Amino acid sequence: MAITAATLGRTELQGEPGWLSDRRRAALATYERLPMPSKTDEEWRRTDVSGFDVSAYSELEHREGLKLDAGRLPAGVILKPLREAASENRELVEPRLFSLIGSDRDRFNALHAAFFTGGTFLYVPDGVVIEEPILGRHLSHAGGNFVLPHTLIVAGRGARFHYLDEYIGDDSEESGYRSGSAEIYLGEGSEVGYVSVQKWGRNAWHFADQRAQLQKDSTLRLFDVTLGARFSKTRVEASLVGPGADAELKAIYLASGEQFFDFHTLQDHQVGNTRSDLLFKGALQDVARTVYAGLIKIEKGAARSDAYQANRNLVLSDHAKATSIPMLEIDNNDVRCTHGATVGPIDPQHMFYLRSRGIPEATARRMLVQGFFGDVLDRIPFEHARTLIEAELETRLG
Amino acid sequence: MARHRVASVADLAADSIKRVDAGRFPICLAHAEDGNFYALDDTCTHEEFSLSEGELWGMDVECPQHGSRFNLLTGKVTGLPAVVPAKTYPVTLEGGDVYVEVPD
Amino acid sequence: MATAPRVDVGSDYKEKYGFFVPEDYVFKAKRGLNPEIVKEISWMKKEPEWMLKMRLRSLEIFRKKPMPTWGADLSVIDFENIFYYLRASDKQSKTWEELPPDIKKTYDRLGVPEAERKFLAGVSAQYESEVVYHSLHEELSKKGVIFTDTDSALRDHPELFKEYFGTIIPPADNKFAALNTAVWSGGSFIYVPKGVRVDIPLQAYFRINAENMGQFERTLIICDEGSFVHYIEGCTAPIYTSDSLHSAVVEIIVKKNARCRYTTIQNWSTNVFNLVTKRAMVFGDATMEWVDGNLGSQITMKYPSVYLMEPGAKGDVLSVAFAGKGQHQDAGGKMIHVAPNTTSTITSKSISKNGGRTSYRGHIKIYPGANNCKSFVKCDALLLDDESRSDTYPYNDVDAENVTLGHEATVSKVSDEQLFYLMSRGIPRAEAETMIVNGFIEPFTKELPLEYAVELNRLIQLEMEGSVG
Repeated sequence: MAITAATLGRTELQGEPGWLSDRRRAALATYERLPMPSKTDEEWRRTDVSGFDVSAYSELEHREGLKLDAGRLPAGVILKPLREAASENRELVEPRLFSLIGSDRDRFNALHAAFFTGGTFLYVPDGVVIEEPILGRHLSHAGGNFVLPHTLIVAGRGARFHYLDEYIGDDSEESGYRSGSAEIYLGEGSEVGYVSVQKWGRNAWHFADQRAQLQKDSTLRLFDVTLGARFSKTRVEASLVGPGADAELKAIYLASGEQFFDFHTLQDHQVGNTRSDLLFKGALQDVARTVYAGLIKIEKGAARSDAYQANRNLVLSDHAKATSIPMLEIDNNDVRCTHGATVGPIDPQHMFYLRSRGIPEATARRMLVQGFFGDVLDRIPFEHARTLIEAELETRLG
Repeated sequence: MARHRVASVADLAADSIKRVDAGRFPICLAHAEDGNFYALDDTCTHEEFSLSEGELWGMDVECPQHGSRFNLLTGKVTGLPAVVPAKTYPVTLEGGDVYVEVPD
Repeated sequence: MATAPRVDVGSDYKEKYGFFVPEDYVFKAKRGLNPEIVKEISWMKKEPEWMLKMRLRSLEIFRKKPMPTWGADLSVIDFENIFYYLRASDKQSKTWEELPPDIKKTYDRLGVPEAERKFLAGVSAQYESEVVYHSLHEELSKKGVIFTDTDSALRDHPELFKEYFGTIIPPADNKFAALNTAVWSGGSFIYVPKGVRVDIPLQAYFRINAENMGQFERTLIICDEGSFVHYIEGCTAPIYTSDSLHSAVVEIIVKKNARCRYTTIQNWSTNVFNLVTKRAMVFGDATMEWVDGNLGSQITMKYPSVYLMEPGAKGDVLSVAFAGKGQHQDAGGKMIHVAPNTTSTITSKSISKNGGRTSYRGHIKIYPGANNCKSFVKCDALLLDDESRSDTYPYNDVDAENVTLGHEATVSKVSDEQLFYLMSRGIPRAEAETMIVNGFIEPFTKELPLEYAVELNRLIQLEMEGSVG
């Protein structure tokens, strides 16, 4: 049975306020109106979704898919499932939900807005600092093949905290439809560390939109890890809307087997005196394919912007394919803007060096891949996430 | 190899092409100006458009999207922008039927 | 235009330029694009049947293909309001007085000789260099080199022509290649036999006839094994045309161990849409070099490409773009690595000023099996004021093993340190900026023949003063 308008009446989505139900209906109508992306759309030219049949999935994730874990939270902090916040904190949620990532950019974006299930709402009031990272763990369950969590984060002026979204697949090889979208609002002078680790099962289809809006003097340190799903498309976007805003966008991906990963990024400098620094590093094995396409946009008047964008791909097999499209649109001359892309194999000299020290080839290879990721791993904003990611890499590179 | 009946001879006028399926393989079937039938993989090796929606140009088939050309006999590229040859499959005629042989 | 006074091009036109002027047919130039115009063009040229068919089919393809949705804004082109074919005598229907003053002024400032000026401005179909051309032509003929206009080549070398025409860039490749194939006229045809090196650059200049600077010229160059040729088109002086669309197609074949260099200095007047398709197919250990300078036009969309077909093939693109007020230069290059052990580089330098926009658009594609390839792309953009814009759109697709691909780009303004250094030595600001810009494009100018390099530097100086366009 396919997802239909009737699905909106299912128990998983009951008890929601009217405004949210209305939005879901509108998004569903948008979904039905929009065509499937085709190869003639630039963004989807190298990203083939013809094998994805939404109608094959119909079981919504049940309510216990989200586990929230945080230490003692200071007064005023709100941390709860998004659906509860939609009723209880309407004034905070309604004006923000989907206003960054939209609900009509393409079919999948609309579908996510219509049927998002689990997800977190985090509100940190002005001046509040949380030392312990907040952990959101999204678990896909047997039977739930439609898992679309949505994270909404609001940081007040001068707030400071770390948040982790971990998307965890069960062991089954079952295929499913997943997304893991996030909207992050950074108030003036706030500092947010956001990490997402995607490790769904290897047959999942994953579509995610992450977008942050940075007010004056705020700092975002975002770190994305993509490991799971057979198909994963992630948009990572930062709008710098206040002077002094600073966005660091880093990511690693490890694609193996028949995995296909697509990343589209945007560093949108709407005002001057802003800074963004993006580095996406990926290793490809077997017959995996990856697409990176990123844009630095410096709007007119955004003088003294400083933007950096790099995509580095390490190709470990004969049949892996990497595409890299780093783009610039610069509308102001008083900027510092640099980008670069590389695609290449392991440096044979490095390999030779390690082998000559008696290190077996497989081990040498693993060391070189770890070394490749090393500099970017240093940028993971908090210890808990770093330990988790390093352990995950260790297992997968084993 | 598996042999599939894909069309009857009468289905294709001389100097025309048609999209058929031989098992799981999409095929561009051509009835060429030399009177013979030829079978090519229907998916253009350049950007994956359907060759059977293109045109015959003598002994070449031309992709409708960017004009790449492939020789019907050999599958070789006879005009850019494609650079990878098209796969060809053996065709046999029996009675009034056209058969194409494809891998299992 | 058709009603304006005509200039007599002389009765020996056919002998000199290989262009047929029908005597008993009154050709009246008409605007618009339809099968009748295409048939008329083909009829006027007395072409073989296959070419007429190809033109008509290309017209259909042109009609069917959508306008590109990327790149520059082309929506203002009115295809029905363009002359697709003008007889040579129709072309010189302007008088010197009718020329826009800025164009005349630029000729003065560049020091372009009178005769040449009139030719460039479309006032005259002739220019003194025909003498140079004739002696050159003799020398080339001795070596077996064919250097002629493309219309004559179709007539005089039908076999060679048919073998290659439209195989590198088929009409269906893109909307403007289809348009060109439907209405092409003029352009150069070059064949260099095995092992022959042509020592002096062949310039479209030498082979002057009015077709040469046409709107829809078609160029085909074949470098046989081990040969070498350097072809130069365009010139630094602005070329004035009242027609707003220029859409050329250039096809090049470089066989084993051969080398071809193709230099372009594009400086159309700023009312022109310049939409050009250029592509070379390069075989074993052969080299193709595109040296491409884009200064004029309102909009240019041009991405010279190289298909590296066999091991050892090498491709280079060296590109400079300058966009001033109201201009958009969307240029770049494409390197398609089909065979292993092939190498390519693209170096792009762009300058935007007074609200001008430059875009680098490139594609590096490494096909499966094209192992051990190397490709490097470097783009530098200079923005001279805060109204101007620069974009970079590099597409990199790697499907083979052991490939090293690098792309780097920077966007900056004229550095304060450099300016300060020069100004502290008493150099006025404007002059200092010009020096910096000339230094910025030096990797390009040093690849040009000396006279072009000198003129280009002078032109940059003019552009910097804002006295052009």
